[in-house]
Amino acid sequence: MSTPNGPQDPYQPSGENPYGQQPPVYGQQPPVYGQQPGYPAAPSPGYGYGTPQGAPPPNYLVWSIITILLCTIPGIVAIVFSTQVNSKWGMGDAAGAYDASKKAKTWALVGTILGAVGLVVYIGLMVAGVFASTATYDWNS
Amino acid sequence: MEPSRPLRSARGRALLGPLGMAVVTAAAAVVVATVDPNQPGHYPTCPSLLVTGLFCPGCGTLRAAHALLHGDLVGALQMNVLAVLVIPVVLASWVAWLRRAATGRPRSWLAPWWVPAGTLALFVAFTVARNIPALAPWLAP
Repeated sequence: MSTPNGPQDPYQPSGENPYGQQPPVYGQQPPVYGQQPGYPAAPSPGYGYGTPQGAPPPNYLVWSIITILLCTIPGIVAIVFSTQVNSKWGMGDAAGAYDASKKAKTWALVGTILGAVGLVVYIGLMVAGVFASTATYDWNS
Repeated sequence: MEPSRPLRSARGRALLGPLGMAVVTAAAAVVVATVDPNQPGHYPTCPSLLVTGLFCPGCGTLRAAHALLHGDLVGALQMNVLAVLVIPVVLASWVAWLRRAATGRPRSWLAPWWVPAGTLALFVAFTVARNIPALAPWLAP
């Protein structure tokens, strides 16, 4: 993470509206985490109490839940980072919250890819007849 | 410089996320509603169930979705209580995602830390409990 170019004034009249650029537009550049409005506006980024100003980072909790329902372990790691997003934001640690958000997204993505790849490989093996005799779970046992 | 034009196309692209997700989910719902997961051979057995013999927190989600799509709420709850309870959360989260994409306004609120932490605890407890034979009649798929 590079250092921000200096405190950004979220209400600068000349530039574009920073709020218009905040939601993560997939496929575009990731948001620059030092630039969310309100973050180091004050010289000391407070580690005290009170939430920071500006938009909180996404914690990807619902995405993590869905990957857990796909039986993938990385979803659990993602939820741990989701918790960190909320707790760090709640303590005023905006940079830490954005960092945890990035990690939660990575792990949720890993879980999703693992689930998708696992399913494709598995169906491929099934079609190839590798599990011919064992591939069904007996729900009545 | 024309700030409104690129902003509008970015907004349009932001809408692709939630709308695309809705289309994919609707297509999956049609498949799950018409192809019965209760019939053996329609879907492959989950690899993690086949390998470990344990019920992961997502086990029974497909059959729960099938039951729900046929109006059988009790049957769905019997298959996977947690997956059914998660559905309203997922829907609310999708509506919030759609609204953020449509308005371009960033999120303004983050739940307290114990919401994701509690979710994690709930999923871990559910996974353990549904693999305990005494609780299986209620929690196992």
